[in-house]
Amino acid sequence: MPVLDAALAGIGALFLWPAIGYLLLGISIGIVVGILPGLGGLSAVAMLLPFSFLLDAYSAMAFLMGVYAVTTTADTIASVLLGVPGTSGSQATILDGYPMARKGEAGRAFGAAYTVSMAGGVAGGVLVVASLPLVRELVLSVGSPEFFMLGVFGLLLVGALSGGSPLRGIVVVLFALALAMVGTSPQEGLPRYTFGEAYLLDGIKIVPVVLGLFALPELLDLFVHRTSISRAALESARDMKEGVLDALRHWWLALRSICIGVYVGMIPGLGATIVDWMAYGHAVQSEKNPERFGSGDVRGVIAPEAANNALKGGALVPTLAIGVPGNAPMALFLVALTTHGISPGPDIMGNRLDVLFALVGALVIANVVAAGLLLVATPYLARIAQIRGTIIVAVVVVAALMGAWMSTHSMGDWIVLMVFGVVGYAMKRWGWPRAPIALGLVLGPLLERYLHLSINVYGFEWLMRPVVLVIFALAVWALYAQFRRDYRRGRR
Amino acid sequence: MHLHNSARHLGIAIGALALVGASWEATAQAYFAGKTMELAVSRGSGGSQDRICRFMASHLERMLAGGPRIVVKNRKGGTGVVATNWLYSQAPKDGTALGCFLPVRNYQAFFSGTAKKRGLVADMTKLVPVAGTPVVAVSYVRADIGSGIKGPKDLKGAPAFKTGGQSITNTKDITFRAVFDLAGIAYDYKTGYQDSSDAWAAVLRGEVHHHSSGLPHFMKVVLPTGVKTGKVTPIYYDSGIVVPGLEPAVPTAEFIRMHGGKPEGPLWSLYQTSRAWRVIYLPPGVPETVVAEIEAAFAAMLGDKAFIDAHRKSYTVFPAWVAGRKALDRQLVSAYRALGPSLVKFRKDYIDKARR
Repeated sequence: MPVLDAALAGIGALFLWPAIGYLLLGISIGIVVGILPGLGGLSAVAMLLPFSFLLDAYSAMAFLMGVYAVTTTADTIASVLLGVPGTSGSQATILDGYPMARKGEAGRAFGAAYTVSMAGGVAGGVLVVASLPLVRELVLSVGSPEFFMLGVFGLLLVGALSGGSPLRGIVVVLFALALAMVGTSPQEGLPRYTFGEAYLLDGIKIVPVVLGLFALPELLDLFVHRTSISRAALESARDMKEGVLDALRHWWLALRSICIGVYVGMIPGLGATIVDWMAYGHAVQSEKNPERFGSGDVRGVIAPEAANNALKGGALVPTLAIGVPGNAPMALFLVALTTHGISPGPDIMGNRLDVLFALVGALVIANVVAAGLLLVATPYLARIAQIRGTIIVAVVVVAALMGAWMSTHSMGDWIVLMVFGVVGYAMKRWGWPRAPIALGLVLGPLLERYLHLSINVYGFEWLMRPVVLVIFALAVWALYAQFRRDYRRGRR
Repeated sequence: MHLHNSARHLGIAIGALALVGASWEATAQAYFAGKTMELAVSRGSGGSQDRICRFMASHLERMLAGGPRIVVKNRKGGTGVVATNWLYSQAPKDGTALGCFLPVRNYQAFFSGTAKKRGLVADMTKLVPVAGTPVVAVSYVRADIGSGIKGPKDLKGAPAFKTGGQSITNTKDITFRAVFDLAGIAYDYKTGYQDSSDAWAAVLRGEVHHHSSGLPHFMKVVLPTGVKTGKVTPIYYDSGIVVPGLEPAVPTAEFIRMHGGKPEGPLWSLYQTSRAWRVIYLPPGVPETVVAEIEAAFAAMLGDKAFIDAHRKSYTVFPAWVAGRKALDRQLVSAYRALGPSLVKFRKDYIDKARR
């Protein structure tokens, strides 16, 4: 089927009944799922997958993509207003999003976030199509050594996430790497530092940790001071426009973050949990006046929100091209596709290009529709920041408990939440950076797994692989740039 | 008059019997009517275990009289320990709680005396298996090893190839190592890949040459993108019977014999006690009538056309589920009982050998 005909057939089919109805239904469900902390695209797609088997192929793809595409757009609401990540893809958004809400700029944060989320989703979709001819070589050029070196590169973001105290940041990230060792060792399959607790066999879960570190200290703050989240007057409608303009003003940062999102999405195994931290860290490392990050800088919202939506387009690429899911929800899309008789690889890339374009079209349409709906709702949503703190506390407690519980549905999640709530409160009080804990916990297992595989499979020859050397050089350069900037700032 | 009375008495008796029968049937039907049941899944949402458990739940809902609602909950943790402990000690014992597990490692821990170390409190012999299916894994190798691999026989004399596993103690790793060792095939064991997708990507980029994927992953991903494009060749699959559509791969025992080996001895026993099953359990202490009703629902499901068609559509193969305690005890639990002290020691030594 010629490419243009396939594009017209695939995208055109989305506008026919019932596909369009299922797309809109999926978008609605995705928005609700994104707003509720703890639920994410993966849970939603897993629950709705059996239903999609009853639909025709176009309707099924439209429905599932509608749900999946918009969760990382709607998750900004909880991240900004409550300081609780709506999904695992918006953890970094709370670092500047919540302080913006406290300054009375929730509307501005939403305006910027929805604009770049839409741009990220659309650009991700376009880049999927553009990169398909190259994808095989691109994805297969990244092996275990390259994964390990990417992890090392990510670890260097610790300086950017340390809020001006790199030494403390390094101490914290080392502590987090040690915490990441808790659980079943990836190579031996044996329990490690679990003290006979079955809960710890799968390691310490990131979501209760982040909720404890960031949400609970803010909760205590709200409770003690008995104020609303926002301590400034409400100017949400004007703020929202300002946020949209912010996104346009910082287009270069948004574009770089989109590229990070697409590329991280294309590399199977990295995924949503890391992409927002990578984009945020990159923004702090590369932007002027980095000291403003963490205190309500709109750039700290733009970077993660652009990246987490762009990731979804990127993750489609290896899934469709070679049958290797870009992330966990993509594994479910693979099931949906094959159940409808469409195989990844040569089948979809050759015979069923129309389905590929339907998927990309649904991704783009869902992002545009969701961002539009949420922008319209922003003036009303921003009012939540004005509600009395004692009322909000109850909502945040429920949201945090629910979000933590969704990890494994066990008491262990709440214990981790509480323990890291205390740790987070102490760290906040004594000025220790909290974000490197999340970074270490996300990267620790990845570093361990791929270092072992690199040595096991390649011996020490892995150190001489060209892509490894390039990533290493980039890491050294990023480290040097960070030190140089810190040194200059110190002299000033 | 007498006849009239007799007829009247007979009528009353028949009416009473009909009423008793109706109320008996109503009671049986009413047991699950309006009830919400929970099916605890031992893995996280989205994985193959989660998908098949949800699939079974949706059909069980339909088959149980009274049309109960079944809520699927992911109680992941400790590769099944969290969910198993919950079902054994905390779940309600009235038939409204079931567990859908991959229990092989828990059986191994239980019968080899390492349950406590693993955090397992459940007595695996007391859980009530009501339905189960063997997990079929398909082994495949890159087609470009040596002078080319077109079928399982071509591995004879081929240079040692790199196998890609998931962890030294992973049941799939143990089974493919055992099969290659029994067949006398040289291989270079590499392990640590997160899952079959991760290992499949490693095979595609040539980092390793072999992996063993579960049947759904093989049929839906490896077959269209690897086998049909000539990149990989399936060589054997874990089954005692011939599964159509997997050619040129052959069942394990045949593969071993094909290469001059014998499927017997402690290594073969280790292979058999390491093979995975998916099993749906009830907790201990559920009333016998309720267990029987759930078993009957599963038995009816296995012959149900809608279930069979949906299974073929979702998993591309005919369902190989077994229903009922007796059949499962014979095929599953009794096999793990073979894990006596000598086999446990053999297993430990075999794992240690890989570690070295």
